[in-house]
Amino acid sequence: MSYIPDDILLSVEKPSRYTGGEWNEVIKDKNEIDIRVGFCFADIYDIGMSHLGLKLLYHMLNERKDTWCERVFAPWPDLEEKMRAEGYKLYALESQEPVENFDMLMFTLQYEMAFTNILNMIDLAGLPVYSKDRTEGMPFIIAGGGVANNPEPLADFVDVFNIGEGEEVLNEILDCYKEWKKAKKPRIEFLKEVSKIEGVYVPAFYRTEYNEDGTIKSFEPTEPEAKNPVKKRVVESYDKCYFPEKFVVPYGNVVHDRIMIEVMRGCSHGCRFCQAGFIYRPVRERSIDTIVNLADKLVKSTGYEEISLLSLSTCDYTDIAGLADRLLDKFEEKRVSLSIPSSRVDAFTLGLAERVSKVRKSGLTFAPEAGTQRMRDIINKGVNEEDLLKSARLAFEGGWNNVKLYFMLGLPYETDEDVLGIPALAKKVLDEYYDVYANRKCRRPEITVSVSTFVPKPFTPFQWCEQITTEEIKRRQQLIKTNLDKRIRFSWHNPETSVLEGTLSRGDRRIGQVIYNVWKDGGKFDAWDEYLSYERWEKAFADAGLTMEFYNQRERRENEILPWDHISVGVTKRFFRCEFEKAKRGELTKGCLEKCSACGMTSYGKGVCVNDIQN
Amino acid sequence: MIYRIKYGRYEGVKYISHLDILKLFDRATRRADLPVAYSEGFNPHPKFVFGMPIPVGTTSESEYVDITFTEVIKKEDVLNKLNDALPPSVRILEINEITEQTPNIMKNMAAAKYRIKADFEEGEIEKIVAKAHEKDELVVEKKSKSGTKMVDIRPMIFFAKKEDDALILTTAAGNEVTLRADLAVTTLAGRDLKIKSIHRLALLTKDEIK
Ligand code: SF4
Repeated sequence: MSYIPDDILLSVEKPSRYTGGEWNEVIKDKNEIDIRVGFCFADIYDIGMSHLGLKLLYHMLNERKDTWCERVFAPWPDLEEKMRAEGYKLYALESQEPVENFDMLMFTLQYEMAFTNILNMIDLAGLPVYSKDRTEGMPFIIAGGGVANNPEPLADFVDVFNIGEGEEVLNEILDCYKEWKKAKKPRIEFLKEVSKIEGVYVPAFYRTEYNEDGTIKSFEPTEPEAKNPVKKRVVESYDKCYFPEKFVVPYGNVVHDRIMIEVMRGCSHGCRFCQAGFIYRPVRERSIDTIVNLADKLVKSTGYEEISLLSLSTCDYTDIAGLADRLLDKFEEKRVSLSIPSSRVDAFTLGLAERVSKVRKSGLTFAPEAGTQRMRDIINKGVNEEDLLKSARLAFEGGWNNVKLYFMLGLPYETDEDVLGIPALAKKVLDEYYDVYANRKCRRPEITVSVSTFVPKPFTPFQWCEQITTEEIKRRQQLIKTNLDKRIRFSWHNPETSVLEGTLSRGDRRIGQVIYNVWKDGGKFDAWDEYLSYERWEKAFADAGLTMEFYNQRERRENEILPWDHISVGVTKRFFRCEFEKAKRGELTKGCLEKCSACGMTSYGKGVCVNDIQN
Repeated sequence: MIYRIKYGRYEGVKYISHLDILKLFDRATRRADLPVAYSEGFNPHPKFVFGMPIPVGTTSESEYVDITFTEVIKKEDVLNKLNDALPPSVRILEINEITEQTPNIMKNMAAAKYRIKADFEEGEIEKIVAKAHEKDELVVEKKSKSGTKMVDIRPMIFFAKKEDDALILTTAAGNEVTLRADLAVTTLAGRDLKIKSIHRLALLTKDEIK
């Protein structure tokens, strides 16, 4: 029986988002478990159920006999309005019970624009949004995921952060919780106990002081248990670490509805704008045997018709051809197709793409990221024009007519000439197509130029940089648009979203007040253009006595204490600074596989750093 | 070989769309490792032919799908394997072998029989039953793709009776005309009923209507 009554469900969009009951969902007897966890994704079902991290940790936590982990998503505003009007609270899909009395709510943080949704979900659960207001008996709010690497913007709302890879630390947190619950100790004791675990950050145990100019003067632990710095966790052995052998199979149209297998973690290239490339270091791989074995079990347990090999850069997998061969041989007969998201031009081999697309021929994507070589050198993107055009040509000769080119706009030190390089390069790709098909009949080429806006992120060499303003973003987008061949499609990102991301991602603790103000003012689903109100954010900043410019439109000083300095992702601040200086000079840095550049990660003794890529 | 499979879809899946049911069967047959035949061509599809879709929110024990298999396979095996590979709210009820010449399931269907629960008042079901068996015109506004039009639904209402606290109602359902059960019952009641559940009990041929 669904928690929300039928007459309400029938009056909202896509009611099957709210009823659970999918294949492979985990149902347990609540009287036989000690810990009830709500695994929360701060967006709707359709997005959350596309997320591999959620699937992985959901099944992992449910491996524990003492724990029942259930899924919790944000209701779309049509349902939320009715829930609030009739007194229904945030609930979990499996049990169809409110999460108010659960032991823990775990949020996976994937993008900054979901911050207001997190507050909204905590509130809809019937809990106070500020951690300081939550009392004995209320669930603990735990958060992890990529965005948690700068936890400060959410420091006032989240009780416990886990920094880095969750596979091992989450189990340690649950063990610690179970002990605490058995001992019937006060809330604060759990926080003290849990903060002893490596990779755990309890923000309430730290105090920040600010300089007159708004920068951070000091950041100090206030409890002996609190670590400084808090070091990110990396799993003991990547190849052997947990990966689910089944996934919940949604009924309805979720964004990514297929088997997803993470074949590799980390990326060896070190593009200077890419946070993921640094925070997930070092590069590690799953062995082919492990992957094929997982794929086999997942096909049997889910019945999915497609396997997708995920990672930051799957074409860099050491023996990608061997892996693809094994998988294709095994599953072709079962009509299970294979997809390999590819965005690197140099590692791309046409033969591989051909085999992969035997079952279905979809578009190819290339990510030159910038339009000129000068710019690509600044961001350390080791791709050149010749390679790109050569790959595009091979693809066209192989029968593709559908190519997507990814670029970034607003990169540090970008000039109009660099911006104009984007339409110019796209035109060369188009010319290549017509050259291949000269004097022959051909399909219309479908070339898309997709331009996102550079957002400076913590833990990248560009963490000190200023971001360009919304007006300037619009001007540069326009510059591309007017110079782009009319036969090429153009897609771009909302400038306001990019600027807000830049502001929030490098925020300090005071940003919490801004997020609160926006949420109080009705802000939610900011990741959805139709719900985002930039004015609401501007007003919230003003009301909090802060400015976006301080966070986003100034270059930070070299000796400034950054809001995330007490978190260590392994790569040192010194390395980032050195990379920043090299960027200014347009100097390249080689990838980990070619030459180690001593970024600091060796201290973990894992993966590529110690020539043990499966560990 | 082709099997005509009758199945039920209950509470847990009443909100999923017809397209999702197709996906569900595709994945369930793969989980069950059944040798489903695929269409030829650039984008092969499993050979499934479904009966008439039911509206979102309705449960049913009279759903049909014809599945073509590449090998001879026992009925019981299909039934057991599929039931093991489907969520509990979808159940295979009956399987019969058909041939390529067998007419499409909807070909001969003329009506559907429903069990309807709603916030009926004391004596209201009896009144609806009586009304259903009257002869005069029953004109309603019917929405269609081309706008709304006035339709006399009387010829599409065949039979009604009371069964405990529920109304059993048989209305037109087929390739030519179909009358939604919710529209039929609210029109007969002459008020905006709060419908609790609609369950399709059977699809009927012309001869079976009673
Ligand atoms: S220490 Fe060297 S090999 Fe390891 S991640 Fe850093 S640069 Fe790459």
